[in-house]
Amino acid sequence: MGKLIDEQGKRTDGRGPYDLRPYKLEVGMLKNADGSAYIEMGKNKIVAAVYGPKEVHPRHLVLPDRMLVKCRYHMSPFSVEERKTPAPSRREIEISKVIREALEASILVDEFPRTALDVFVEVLESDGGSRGASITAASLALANAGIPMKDMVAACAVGKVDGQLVLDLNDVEDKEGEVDMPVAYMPNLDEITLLQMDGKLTVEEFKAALNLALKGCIQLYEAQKKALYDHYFNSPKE
Amino acid sequence: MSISRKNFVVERLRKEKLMELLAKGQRLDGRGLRDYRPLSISTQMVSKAEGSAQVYLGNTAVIAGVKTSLDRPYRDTPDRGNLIVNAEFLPLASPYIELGPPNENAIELARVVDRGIRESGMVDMSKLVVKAGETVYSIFVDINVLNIDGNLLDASSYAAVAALVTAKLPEYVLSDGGTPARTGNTIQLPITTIPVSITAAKIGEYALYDPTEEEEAVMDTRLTMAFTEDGICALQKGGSGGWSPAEVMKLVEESFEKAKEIREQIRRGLGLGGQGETDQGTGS
Amino acid sequence: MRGKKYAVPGDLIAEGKSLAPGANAYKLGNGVYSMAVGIVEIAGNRAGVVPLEGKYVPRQDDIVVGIVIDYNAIAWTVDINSIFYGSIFVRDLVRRGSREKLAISNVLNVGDVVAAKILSFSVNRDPLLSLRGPGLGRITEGEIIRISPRSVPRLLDRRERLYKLIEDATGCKLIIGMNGLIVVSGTPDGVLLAAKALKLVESEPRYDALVKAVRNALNVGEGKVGEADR
Repeated sequence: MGKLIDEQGKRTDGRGPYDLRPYKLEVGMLKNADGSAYIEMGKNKIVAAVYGPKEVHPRHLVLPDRMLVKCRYHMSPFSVEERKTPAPSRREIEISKVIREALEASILVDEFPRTALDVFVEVLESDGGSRGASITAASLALANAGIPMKDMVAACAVGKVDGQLVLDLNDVEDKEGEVDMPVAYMPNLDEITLLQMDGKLTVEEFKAALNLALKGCIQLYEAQKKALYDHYFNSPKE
Repeated sequence: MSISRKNFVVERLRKEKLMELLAKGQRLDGRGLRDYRPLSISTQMVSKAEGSAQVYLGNTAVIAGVKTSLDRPYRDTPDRGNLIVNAEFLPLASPYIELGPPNENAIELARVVDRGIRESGMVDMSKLVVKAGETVYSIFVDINVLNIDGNLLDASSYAAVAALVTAKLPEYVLSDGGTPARTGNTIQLPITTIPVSITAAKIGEYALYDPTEEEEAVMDTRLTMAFTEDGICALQKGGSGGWSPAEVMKLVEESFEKAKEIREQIRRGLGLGGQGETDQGTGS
Repeated sequence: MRGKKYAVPGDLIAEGKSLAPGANAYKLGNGVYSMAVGIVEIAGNRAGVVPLEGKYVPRQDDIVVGIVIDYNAIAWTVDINSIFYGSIFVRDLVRRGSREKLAISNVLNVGDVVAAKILSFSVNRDPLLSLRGPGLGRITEGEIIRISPRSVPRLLDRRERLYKLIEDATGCKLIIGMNGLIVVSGTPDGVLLAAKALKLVESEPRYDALVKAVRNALNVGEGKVGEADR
C-alpha cells in the first residue's frame, strides 16, 4: 500500500486535504418522474428520481397521518470495477435506509397523509462517497417534484488518510483510509440527518472531522441552490 | 426498498406523562436520563456453539452465538481471519414482527454491531491464520433477538462481545503434510479490547440513554456510538429526525465516559480482571 | 431580502418579528423561509411562495378535466392527474330505478374524457366529483394538452386573460381544468398554435415575459386582444 498523501500534502487525485472533488449538478432531466436530478462527484455518476405524492400500494402499508416515504439505493452492475450482481446487497439495503431517514427529516410528511413518495437512486458509476452524493441529488429531485421541504439536504464524507483528516473521500481513500464518516446536513435548521462512521478517532479528532464535514456540506448546499436557480430562474433563452 | 416504519401507537396520555417527566429529568420507569437499565450477561450456555451469551438489558433479551470453522480468507485480506455478523429479529420477540428474511432493521443491526467489533480491532484477526492466503478461521457471530423492549443495538453488541470473549474453539495448525490439523487443544479468541456500544434517543430537547421500546416509538432520532478505551470506532444515527452538531459533540463526549462505566460492568460480568488484562492471546 | 423575487427550499424570503408565514413557507426565529421552488409573494405581513412545481391538490368547486379509467356498480374512477383518483358516483348521472336497464359503461366508459367539478376532498376521503352543472359532462371533441397544474393560474390571470387571447387568436375553444388538463378544440392549425402557446405558459414563470412571449407566438400586437373580442 503506497502513501495516500504525498510530501506536498497532495492526495492521490492531486487535491489538498480540504478540497471537494469537481462536481456537476443537473435538475429535471427525466420526463416521466415527478422530479429528477443528476450528480457527478469525482467519478461518481448518480441519477435520482422521485415519484409522488401518490397512492400507497400495497394498501396495508398506508399511514393515516403522514406520507409514506420509500427509498431505493441501487448500484448498477457496471458501476464498479468487478461486476456487481444486480440483486440488492446488505450494504445497499442499509444505505437505502439511512438515505430515506436523512431525506425524511427535511420533508413535511404530515402535509400528505395517506400518500406515498418513492425516491429512487441509481449509481451508474461509483467512486467513494456515493451515499452522500445520492442524498445531495435526491434532495434536488424532491425540490424538482415540488415536495415541500424545510431545507435542502447536502451530504459528503470525511475520512483520515495517513493520519490526516480529509474531506470528500475518493474510492482509494474510502477503501484504504483509516476512517470513513458520511454526514448529511440541513444548514437552516442546523440539523445533521445522516451520521455514520467507522474507523478510529479520538473524541477531539471526531469533533474536528465533523466540523470539516459540515464545511463540505455547506459548499454542496450552495451548489444545490445554484443548480435550482439556474434551472428555474436564470434561463438562457432571454 | 426502504419503507417508513409504522410505529406501534403510544397512547396520548402516556406520551404526555413522558414529556412531563422528561422536563424533570425523569423517565417513565423511574430512571434518570443517563441511566441504563439493569444489565445481566450469562455466557457459555449453548454447548454446541463455540461461544454464546445471553443478555438482558431491562426486558430486552438477546442471545448471540459464535461458531467457528476453517475457510479460505477473503481475497483482499489473505492474512486475516474472517468475521461475519448476522442478526435476526425472531418472530417470538414481539407481536409486530412479520416472518421473513432479515429486513432492513436486522441488517442494519448486524452491520452496526459488526463495525463496532471490527473497527475496534477487538479480535486480532491476524492471529487467526492457519496458512496465509489459503486457510484461516472464520468467526460467525449470529445474533437472535428474543424480546424487544428497545435498544436492541446495545444489547446485541454486548451479547456479541461477551460471546466472542468467552468463546472456546478447537485449535488448528499446519501439519507436516501442509494440511490443517487439530492439535486437540481449545483456544480462546485473541481479544485486544472490549468495545462498548452506547445508544441515545432524542425526544424533544432531551437525550436519553438506553431507550425502551416505548421511548423509541416517540423519539425524534437516535445515535449509536461504539467506543474503545481511546476513542470512537463506530457511529450510526438512526431514525428520521436530526441532531444539531453541538448536541452530537456533547453526546459523544459524555458517552465516551459512560462507556468506561459499562465496560467495567461487562468485564465484571465476564469475570475478566482489572483494566489492561484483555490480551488473551491464542494460548489458554 | 428586499425585492427577493424567487426562492428555493430553505431560502430566507423575509425577516421580521411580526411576519407570518404564508403558503409554502415557515417561520424560524425572525425569518420566514421557503419550502418550495417558486415566486416570492409578500402581502401585508404574510410572506409566502407560489410554487412552480407540484401535483394538483383537489379543492372544492374546482373544475377539472379527467379520464375515466375504471368503474363498478357504484362509481366511475377518474384519473384527474392528482395524488388520488377521483370518483363519480353512478347515482350522480343515472336516475334511480333506471340503473338495471342501463349498462354503466353506456353512460360513461373507460377512456371517456369528462369535465367535472370537485364536490369534496379531505384528508379522509378521495376526491368526489360531479358532472352536474353547466359546461360539465362528457367531452366529445378536442385534444387534451397537459401543462403543469401550477401554471393554470397564469393562464386564467385576469390582468391579460391569456386564455381568451389564445382562444381568439387561434379560433379554438378551451376547456381549462385546474388540474392542468386543457381540452382544445378547433382547426388542426389552430390547435397546434394553441398548444404552442399553452406550453409557453408552463415554461415561463415571469408573468410579463410570458405575456410578451405568448403575444409573439400568436402574432398579436400590444394591447390588441383580437378581432373577435370587439
